[in-house]
Amino acid sequence: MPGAKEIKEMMIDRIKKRSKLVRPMMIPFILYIGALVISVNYLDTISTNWKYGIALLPVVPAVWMALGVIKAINQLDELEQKIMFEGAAFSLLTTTLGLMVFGFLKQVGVEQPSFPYIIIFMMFMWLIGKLRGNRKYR
Amino acid sequence: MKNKLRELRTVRGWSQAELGERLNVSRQTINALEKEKYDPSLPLAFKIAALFELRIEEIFEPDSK
Repeated sequence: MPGAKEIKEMMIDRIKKRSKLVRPMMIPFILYIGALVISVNYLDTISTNWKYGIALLPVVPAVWMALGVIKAINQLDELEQKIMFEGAAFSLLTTTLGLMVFGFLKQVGVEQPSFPYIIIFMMFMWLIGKLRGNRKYR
Repeated sequence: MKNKLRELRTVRGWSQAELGERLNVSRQTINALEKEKYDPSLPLAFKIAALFELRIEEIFEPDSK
């Protein structure tokens, strides 16, 4: 059983790790929400070529967020990176298998999942993969 | 791979977090190394050896010789 000191260290370690990952993504995430609100609400009111720019506006902070993720992953130590990549591999495999299942079921008329659901599933599987990794190396 | 990391750390009176800070890795990594659930990369093994002023083979030893 870990002692009080070890538990405190574990908690500090967890907070440090989480803030290392979350902090670089805070500003782009807020901008993403703002861009999404603008894009959804004002797209119908614009009829010029600007509508393409407005429609793609959320992509700019999304790219910033993606760069933040890469930067955050590079700042992790080797075991944390290993856990992260094992989680990503798990997510890729399970999502591919899931899509294969839906692909075959399409032949019998089952409706295909929409793109946002696939992304959410992928993120969820990454989280599961990461938790598996954390457990494995605990 | 077997290692003497816990022994070396406790002799110096360092916590896992302190050792992690000295090596610039997380406490989780130190814990995984001590429990022999994770083998370090060569650069990290060199860093550990330099910190304890020992040779790599004095700290790490393969499972079967």
